[in-house]
Amino acid sequence: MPGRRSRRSVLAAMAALPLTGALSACSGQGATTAGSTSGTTRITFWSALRGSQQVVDAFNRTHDRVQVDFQQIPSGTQGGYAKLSNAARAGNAPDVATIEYPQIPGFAIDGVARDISGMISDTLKAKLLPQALGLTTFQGRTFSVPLDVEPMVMHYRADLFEQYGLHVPRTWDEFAELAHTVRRKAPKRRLALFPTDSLATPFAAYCWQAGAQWFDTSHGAWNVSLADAPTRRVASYWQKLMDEDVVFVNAMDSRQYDAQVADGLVLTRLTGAWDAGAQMKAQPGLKGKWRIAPLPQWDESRPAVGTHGGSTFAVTKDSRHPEAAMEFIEWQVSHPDALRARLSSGASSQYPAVPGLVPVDRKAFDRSYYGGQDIYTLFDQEARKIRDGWVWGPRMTATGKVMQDGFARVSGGQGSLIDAVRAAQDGTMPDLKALGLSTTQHST
Amino acid sequence: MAATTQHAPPAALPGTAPAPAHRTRKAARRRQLGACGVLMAPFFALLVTVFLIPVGTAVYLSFYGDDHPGLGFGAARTIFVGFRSYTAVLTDPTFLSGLGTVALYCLVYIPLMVIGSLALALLLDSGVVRLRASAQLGLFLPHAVPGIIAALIWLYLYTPGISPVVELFAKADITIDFLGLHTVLPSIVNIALWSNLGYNMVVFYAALQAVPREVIEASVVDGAGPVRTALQVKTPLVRASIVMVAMFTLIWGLQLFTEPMLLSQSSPMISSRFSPSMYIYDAAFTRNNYSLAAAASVVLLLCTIALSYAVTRWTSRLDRTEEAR
Amino acid sequence: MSAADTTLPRPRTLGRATVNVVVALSVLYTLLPVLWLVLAAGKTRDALFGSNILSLKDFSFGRNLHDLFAMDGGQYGRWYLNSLLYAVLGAALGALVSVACGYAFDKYRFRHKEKLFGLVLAAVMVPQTVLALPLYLMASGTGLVNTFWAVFIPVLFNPFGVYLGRIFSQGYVPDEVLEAARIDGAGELTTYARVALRMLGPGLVTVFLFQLTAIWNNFFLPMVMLSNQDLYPVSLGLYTWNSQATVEPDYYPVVIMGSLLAVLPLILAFVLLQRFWRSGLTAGSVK
Repeated sequence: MPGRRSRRSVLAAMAALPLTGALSACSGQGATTAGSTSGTTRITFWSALRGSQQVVDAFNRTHDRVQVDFQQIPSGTQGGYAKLSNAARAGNAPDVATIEYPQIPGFAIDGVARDISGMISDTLKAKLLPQALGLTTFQGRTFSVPLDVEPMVMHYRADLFEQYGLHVPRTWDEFAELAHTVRRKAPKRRLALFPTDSLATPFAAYCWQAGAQWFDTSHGAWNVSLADAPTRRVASYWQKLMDEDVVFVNAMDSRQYDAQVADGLVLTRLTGAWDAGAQMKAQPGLKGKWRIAPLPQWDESRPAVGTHGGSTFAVTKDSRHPEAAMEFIEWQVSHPDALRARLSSGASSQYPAVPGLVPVDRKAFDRSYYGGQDIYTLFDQEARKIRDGWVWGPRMTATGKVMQDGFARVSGGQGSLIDAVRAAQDGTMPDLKALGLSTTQHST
Repeated sequence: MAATTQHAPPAALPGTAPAPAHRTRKAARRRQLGACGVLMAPFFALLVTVFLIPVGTAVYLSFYGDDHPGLGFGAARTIFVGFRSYTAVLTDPTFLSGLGTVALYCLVYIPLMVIGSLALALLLDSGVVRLRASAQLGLFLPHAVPGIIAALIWLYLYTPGISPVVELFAKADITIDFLGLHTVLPSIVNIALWSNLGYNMVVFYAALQAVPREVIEASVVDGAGPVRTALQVKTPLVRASIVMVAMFTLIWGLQLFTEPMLLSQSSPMISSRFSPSMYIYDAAFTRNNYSLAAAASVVLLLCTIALSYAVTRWTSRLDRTEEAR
Repeated sequence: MSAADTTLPRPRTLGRATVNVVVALSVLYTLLPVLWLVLAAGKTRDALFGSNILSLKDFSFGRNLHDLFAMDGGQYGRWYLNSLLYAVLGAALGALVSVACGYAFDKYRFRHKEKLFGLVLAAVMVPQTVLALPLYLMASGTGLVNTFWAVFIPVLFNPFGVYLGRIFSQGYVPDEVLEAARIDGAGELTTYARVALRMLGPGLVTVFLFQLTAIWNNFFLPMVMLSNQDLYPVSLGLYTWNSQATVEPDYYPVVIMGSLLAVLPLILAFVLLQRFWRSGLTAGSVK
């Protein structure tokens, strides 16, 4: 199969080239115009996800009618989203783009992500976790297809828990108590970190779990109530832990935090399921020391969690071959070969939005880092607890930025968490109004 | 282009037949205007394309925007939105706090800059400074350092672990966080001061050098000491330069962008909407809200014009009262 | 430049000493950060953190230099060339355009001249950030966005250069010379190119120098216009690398070394061309 080999080497060469906008523009144009004359349809695909090249290679190997040109782009907040918006404005967005959950409403409103309700097959719909699909569907219209959905879990240092005689907390009350115990027994260590960055997505997950409804579209308008009762409860809970100095308050994407984890100063990480794999890569030296437990609950009789992370694939407005794009997306999110190809690029602990694929993940995952723990069984349980009905806002990056800026000020000694949340609400409303959206601000 | 339309030759007087001499003069005049047009055309072509049209576009965009009725998932249309974007900007606490930040910045920065650079110029002009030319060059040097790199150097000088300054303070048992909540604005002022102090000093020095020596000598005869000569004789004489420096410092101060943008990479105390310029950037390129960004741009422009106008009015009134005395 | 010594009464020695100390301290304030940059550029990553800045123990100037040009596939060299291209070419062309226009403002009379000149001066006042979004949308519409031209064309526009050009023309090109040329029958443009431009030489260099700095400084516009890293100027490139340095400290030495190299050409230009910019600033201030 010399022909196939040469095409693959071309693709590999393209991936090796510097990631240039000009190049992408050309290949985008070329791909869509060259199109179906030769019998094969070429589509373009942008993603920042690791392993995408392997997935595309596997797809191209097994498909004749549709061929994919892949371009690795920076992650969303590192410029990937700006690149996508710019390309869409210039009319050359790729056929398939990668969008994280919080940004879907924004790209849908801007008309970058296409309404794919009519194209998404019922079989695929049936395979997807309903809560995941719910996050990409607005007013009955679906704008993207979830790849993974990441319930928030509690990663903890089993060795240190044992050393200090600690028990895994099951409720937030126990968690707070434990935070004091850790502080008392090991004055330099803390039970957890309250992150002041990440666009406030960890905080959003806490609120989501507690029953908050930051955005609500059920009455035909965007109701914004960032500081609703559950959020106020979560904010005052963490505020108290911060005031008592029993948690760290700093950025997560920093060398300071890397050191806190590496030196065992922080005993738990409250993050999405994906972080299990990321941790293995980032801190190979801590092998065997971490375990994973469910996130503490507010009410054990009615367990719920929120999500932290996860990506989806959208067909853009500029795509000339939406059916081909959809075919690629469907294969990518639901075919075991696609998942195997992705996992071949390195360890990943993603929780697939198609739960039927969990066995593939479980089989590929090396459990030794977690002392042999079967983390996927845990993820499976937790994913089903994801509280349905959460809606991300129309300008979530901006909302999250204002909120995290407020959190950073709290860490600097000014204001409180709930002030930061209210500031985010005040900083979001003008945006939505300037877009012409119908808005309300009822709150519980 | 715009330039050539402006200088149509003056209309010939009606009823008078042009004399031959007149005609040649007219032809010469036409030639001159033609040359003038050629010399001006490239600049005015640029003026129109990268200045007038963009300003017009900004104003247009602030009144016309994409409208997303309801939840916004339907098709968007561009409509006249009136003052909607302006209302949004002016009720946005993050924009207002950005304006406040820049106002505070200017209030601290401009007096420091004007007084500092004028004082240095007066000292250099007093004739007692050794190695005057080298001192001037040394003071001017930071102006040759690009803004982003000036910010980088100072960022590192503010960063604990790298900075010898922080270390020095630490040795004296002073912990100082240059990028903290209350220190970050003074830290930015310091960067701007460092970059531009020498430049403005040279401007003042040049102005002082241009003052006729007799004027100064006359006042010296009156028995004024060097300090009084500097403050009461020389300073008023370079008033025009002071106004110009203050004005340019103001205009640049209102645009505050590069330094906070760079420092924000390392300090969480600088939000993405720290100054109006950062707000505009964020609105346009993070929030994809062009109409909002355009309205914020126009507001910033109006603030600049109003303040510049106020400065000129105020100084010209001062001039008048001066003359009246 | 010869500063005529004033014949002020001899200040007391104490005053003289104070003055010299104040000026010396100010010079230290302006020079020490640059000196730090020079010293820090020779440090290894580990020496940068924590060791004495003055010690020459972990000297690795050569290695840092090598790392700088090897980092990310030699991006820095490309950025440097881009900056040179944007700045030198842009400043040369821009200075010619501005000075020609300033000369025309000085030497020719036409209706509404001062109003037009007022418009030019008003353009000085308008913040770059106000123009950035419309320029971006225009570039997006014409397909120029994310190309060399998107940055190059706007930086040519230098209204302050026109202002300086007019003043230089007043000062350097006597009207009599033009009259003489006209009587000789020389064309207007020929006169400009052959006679006036030569007299305007020093002014041209001044405008060029200031525009060179301005373009080399330019950050906002490339940031808005360019997403292709291969087109970045040094300023934007270093900004990008610095953002990575907060997570990957390996970038610190190269960012510092890169900053040093980026500063050098401008410092050199200013030191070598002192005569010109001093006269430029004099012209700008005395009005």
